[in-house]
Amino acid sequence: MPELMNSVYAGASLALLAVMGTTIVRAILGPSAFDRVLAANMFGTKTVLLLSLLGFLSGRPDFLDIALVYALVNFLSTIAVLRFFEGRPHSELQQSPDADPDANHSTPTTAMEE
Amino acid sequence: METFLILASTLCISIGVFLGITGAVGIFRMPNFFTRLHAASVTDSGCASMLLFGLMLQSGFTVATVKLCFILFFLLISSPTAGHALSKTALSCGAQPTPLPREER
Amino acid sequence: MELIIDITLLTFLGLTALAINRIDKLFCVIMLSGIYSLLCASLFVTMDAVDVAFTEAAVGTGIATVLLLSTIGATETEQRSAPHRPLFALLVVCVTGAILVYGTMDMPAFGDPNAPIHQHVAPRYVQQSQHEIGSDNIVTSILSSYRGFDTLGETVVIFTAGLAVVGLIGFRGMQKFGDRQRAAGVTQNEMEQHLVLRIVIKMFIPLILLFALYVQFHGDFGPGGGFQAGVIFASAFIFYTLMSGLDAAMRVVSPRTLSYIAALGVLLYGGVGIATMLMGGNYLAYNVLRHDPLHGQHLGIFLIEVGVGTTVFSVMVLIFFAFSSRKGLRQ
Repeated sequence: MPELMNSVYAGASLALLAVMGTTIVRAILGPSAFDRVLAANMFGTKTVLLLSLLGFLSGRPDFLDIALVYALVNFLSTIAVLRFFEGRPHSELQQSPDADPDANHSTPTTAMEE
Repeated sequence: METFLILASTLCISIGVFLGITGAVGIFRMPNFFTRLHAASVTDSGCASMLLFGLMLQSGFTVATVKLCFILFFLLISSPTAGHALSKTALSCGAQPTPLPREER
Repeated sequence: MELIIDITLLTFLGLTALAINRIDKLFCVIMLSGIYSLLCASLFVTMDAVDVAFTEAAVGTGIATVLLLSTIGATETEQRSAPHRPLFALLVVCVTGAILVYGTMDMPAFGDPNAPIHQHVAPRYVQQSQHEIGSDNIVTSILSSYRGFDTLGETVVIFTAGLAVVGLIGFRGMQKFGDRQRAAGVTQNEMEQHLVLRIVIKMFIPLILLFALYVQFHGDFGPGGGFQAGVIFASAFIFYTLMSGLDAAMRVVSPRTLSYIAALGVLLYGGVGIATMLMGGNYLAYNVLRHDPLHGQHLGIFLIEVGVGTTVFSVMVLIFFAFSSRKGLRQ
């Protein structure tokens, strides 16, 4: 029953698209920089899954190569961002006009320029 | 046999989708960075494993299954590492896990 | 079904583009542009353009994010607001855009089967490619054989970009970073804090290199080819740099060696053309390379893909080294 599997793939793809939408909202909203990095990382993983599903939906297993590359570059960009954070002063990363009210800041939260 | 495979993979994909939606709701509504990190890790490990396993059941003994195994292996190792690195950097930059407010009785 | 996926992805794309435009914290913009590139790649996949999606993912999400991060590491992290409101510029842009749109109304519709490209060129490629070139992947046969000159031009462009970066920053500038670090007494202590990361990356680097080679040699049969393989190969080196520091990475392969490798790649590509001319054919006519045209095509495509891959790899790593060594100036 390939039609049943196709509809399963299609339903799962739509659900994954909804998840990706939520992730984008978090990437735009997220008060601290770490939220955005987290959202970008999660978006990459969801894209990998979406592509695998799309590959099976359209009957072309070539897409799995691309999915593997996406997983790789997603990991690369996350690690690069984190190494970038190491050289930054601590206060810059908690900034936003409406700072996260729950975070327990030990340093003043001013968006200072270098 | 084929019906069993279809049922099993549908079950796996459904569980995966449920875990994914759970993680999405979590990353949207959780109050703190560390709680959001936990929600995201639910999707990265649970949803990914279930979805890819369901796809593996569907593709039989072809090279596509081998590639799916590679993707699963890579995701299962790199996602927790990225989460660990994220939380370590966040801690070293001053973000702290907030204890939940206690109810005053 | 595909329609819903397309509409959703395009909506996300528009949303992300709007957000990139409005936010002026540059770090957030870089994260969003990584998401934008992933969305574009997904759209390419739904349009069945698999090779393009491959390259977009590898370059746009991996390398571009890393290079942009190095750039804002060396400059500022907030965008300065414009001192005036550019209303006149907006008017000029709108008028020009309107003229361009009016000009496109004469073009055939998207995917029109009566368009000239679908009458002569595309049927020839689609029908004759298997017979003349013998590779399963039509994109590779167009890229490497039918339009080999264009790919040679692209490779030379990438090489020129590497030349420009080396000319601006220079080998001595990159070496100075290592000296500065040694003078400041930066030890390897900070690297040992990230034990988990180091072990995981150490485990992955050989697999990534192998995968790059797989992509390189499978360009004939599936999505892949020289560009993508070069970028993935460079990603492995960038991983190593992120793990062990720029100094150690520059000891593995020095910028000077990288520039030689880049030149070697372009030389290989051009040299294949010269070889075919010496054997009696036109420039880059691979049929004459072997006794049998199909074998000649395979050999020619193999050699030029190796050339493209090496040039792309070395230029990417070179640009990354050059940008990262600028960060030391701020310390």
